[in-house]
Amino acid sequence: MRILVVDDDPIIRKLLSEVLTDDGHQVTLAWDGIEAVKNVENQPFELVFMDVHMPRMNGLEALIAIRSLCPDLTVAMMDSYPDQLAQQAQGKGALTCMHKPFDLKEIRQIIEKVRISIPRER
Amino acid sequence: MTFRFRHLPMGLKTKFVLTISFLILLTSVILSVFLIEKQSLLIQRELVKRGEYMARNLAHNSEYGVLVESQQLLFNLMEGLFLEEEVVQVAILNRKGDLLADWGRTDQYRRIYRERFDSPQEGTTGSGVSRQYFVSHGMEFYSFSCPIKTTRVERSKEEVGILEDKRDLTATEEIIGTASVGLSLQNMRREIADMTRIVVLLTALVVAVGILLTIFLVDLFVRPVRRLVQATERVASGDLSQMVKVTSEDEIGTLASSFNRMIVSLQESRQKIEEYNRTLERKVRERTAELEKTTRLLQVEYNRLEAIINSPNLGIMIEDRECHIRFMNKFLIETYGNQIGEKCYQKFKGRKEKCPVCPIDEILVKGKKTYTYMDQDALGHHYELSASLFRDEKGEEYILETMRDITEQKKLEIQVQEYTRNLEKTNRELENALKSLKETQVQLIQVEKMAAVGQLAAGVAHELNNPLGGILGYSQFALEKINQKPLGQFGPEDTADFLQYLHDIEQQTKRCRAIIQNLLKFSRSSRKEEFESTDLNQVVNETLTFTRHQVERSKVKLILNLQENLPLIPGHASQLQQVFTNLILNAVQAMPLGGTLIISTVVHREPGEIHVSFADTGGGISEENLDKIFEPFFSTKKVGEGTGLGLSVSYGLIRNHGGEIKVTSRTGEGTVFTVVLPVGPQEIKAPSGREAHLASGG
Repeated sequence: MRILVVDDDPIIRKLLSEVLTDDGHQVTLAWDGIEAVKNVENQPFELVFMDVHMPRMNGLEALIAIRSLCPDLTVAMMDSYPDQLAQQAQGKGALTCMHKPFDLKEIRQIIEKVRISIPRER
Repeated sequence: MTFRFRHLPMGLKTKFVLTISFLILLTSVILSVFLIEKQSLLIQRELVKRGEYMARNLAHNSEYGVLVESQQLLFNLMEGLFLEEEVVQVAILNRKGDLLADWGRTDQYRRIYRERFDSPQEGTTGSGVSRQYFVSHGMEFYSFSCPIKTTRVERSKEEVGILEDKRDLTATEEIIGTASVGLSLQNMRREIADMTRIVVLLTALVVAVGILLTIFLVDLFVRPVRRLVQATERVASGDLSQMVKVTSEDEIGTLASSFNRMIVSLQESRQKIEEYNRTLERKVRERTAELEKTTRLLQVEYNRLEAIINSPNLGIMIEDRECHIRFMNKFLIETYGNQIGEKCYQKFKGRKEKCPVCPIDEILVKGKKTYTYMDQDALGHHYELSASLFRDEKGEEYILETMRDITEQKKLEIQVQEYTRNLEKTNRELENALKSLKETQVQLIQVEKMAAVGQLAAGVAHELNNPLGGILGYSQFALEKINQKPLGQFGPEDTADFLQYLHDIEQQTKRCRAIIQNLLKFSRSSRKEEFESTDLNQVVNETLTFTRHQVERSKVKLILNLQENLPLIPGHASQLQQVFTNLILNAVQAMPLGGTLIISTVVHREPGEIHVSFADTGGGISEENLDKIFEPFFSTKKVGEGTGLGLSVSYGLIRNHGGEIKVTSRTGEGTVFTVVLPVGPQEIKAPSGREAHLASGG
């Protein structure tokens, strides 16, 4: 599965990169919303893990942009603090919102959800 | 006469002339009277002598005629007398007094004699001749009668005609008749009259000449005197140019020259006097000027004294030894009426006896120089009195008392005491209030800080949850790997992976620890903390640890312009962090639609300051609010969004550091808050102890 990980914190990027690669996925890293939108424009993804609070372009704005580019692309949000921004994200079409620190299980459940849904569409 | 002279205005000349004329006249009159008298007497005596002689001669010659009683003989004898012009009557009488023969120059004379003659008396005069005065019908004459004597007593003896014994003859002298010769006084009178006329004439002549001479002489004498008098009068009227001609060497001349000398000395005297006068005038002018000056000064002094004496609420009084009031000033008279002459304790205190403590005794008896005391009069006025000794021009001792009305002051004092008590009470309350306020202030700072912490919670959570996410993820990842194969099958690659995971976990845990420490440091109560050498750049960075998230979340672009190698300042990192947090959060809140926040640190070497500025691109602050933003509880935010204490507390904290917060704002353009902090005297360039501080701060 082609997965885009968007987070401004390097440790989260590093962790998700190692875990998802180890699980056999293709992982692309972006450090803020702008990078994320650029990536989504250039290559196809099945899943996006995206932090809500980021400099330059935050998760919510990036979400809206990504949804307009690829309305079918599943986006899972991550937040480090449950505030309005995270709640709004769900309203804008995000699959879910994970609260940091999250279990690896949660990641894998979301991937599984997406894997099941893909062949159905195809 | 002298009396009249004295009182009639007469000149010297007149006096002299009158006096001398009078003397001449008197002398002449006396002399002429005397002369006339004397001459008359002489003429008369001569007449008498002649008459006596004639009578005696006739008597002697007629002895015989009488004896014989021969008229003829007698007549012949008498005839010779008729030739004498002055003889006017001749008669010879017998012993019995019968006329033997008589003759008159006129019948008138004869008749007068016959009618009035007396019998000759015996021994009437020494010479035996008597005199009888006849006057009648303008004819007057002396009749000299001489007795006719004879020694022929007896006819017989006469007849004998022989005188045998002379002694005998003499002894028997006998008066036989009287011979009388009348001498007219007419001649004598005429002679006397002539003589008198001459004398009178001469006298008159002498008097006239004398008077004329007197007038002339007196005039001669008086003229220089008059000149002197005139000169004197002119001198007296002030003309000293007069000199008198010295015409003689007598007393008048001496007087004139004396007068001239006197004039000269008078002129000298006058010059001296004028000189003196000028000097005197000058001195008088000087003295007058001095006097005027003194008078003015005295007037000023007088005015001053009058003002003092009449000053309101100040009583001035003079008393004598017996407590009698001798003087009261206006204020006292207005207050008590004029009580001069009365006793002070009666009128002021309403007492019958002298006061037990009396300033008069204190000064006059006990000899104190001044005596000050407080007193209350019968009307309830309070006074502060000052008594002192006062001597009048005779040296009499009095007491001068000044009385200051302190009734109001007394009232005020009581009020002041009341107020003071109240104030002390209020003060205690205030002190307590202040204490609790300080307490509250500390609490407020803390509250504000906690509010900031609250606002920062999201940031803190963000900061914490990221590393925690890393830690949790790697732990689970490691656990998954361990559970996938038995322990002994791990190769060196696996070990390297595990080491990497553990290293990441450690790193992230340390990151969490640092965040917690920072938070604790920030939120710790700032009570009783010493200043430490502080690097402001570090404080800014630490502040951004929590706030960066807030800034970035609000789509605010953060630009840091931190000057390198900032000098350290004495400060309190936690307090400064609180201030910076407050300013950053304010800036972020001022830009709800995003913007730019520029944080810069700049050293101003000259006054030794560091400026930390926070410039936002928000809406700015209106001018009317600009003055109020540092006031406590002033806030433009909605209720619940801020405490309204942030800037106020920040300002207080910066003041604590000896610095200030400046603000410039333009509506629609943004606001710049600049924290100005003084660089302390212990300016440290190389912040070598930073790590140690951080460690101990944790």
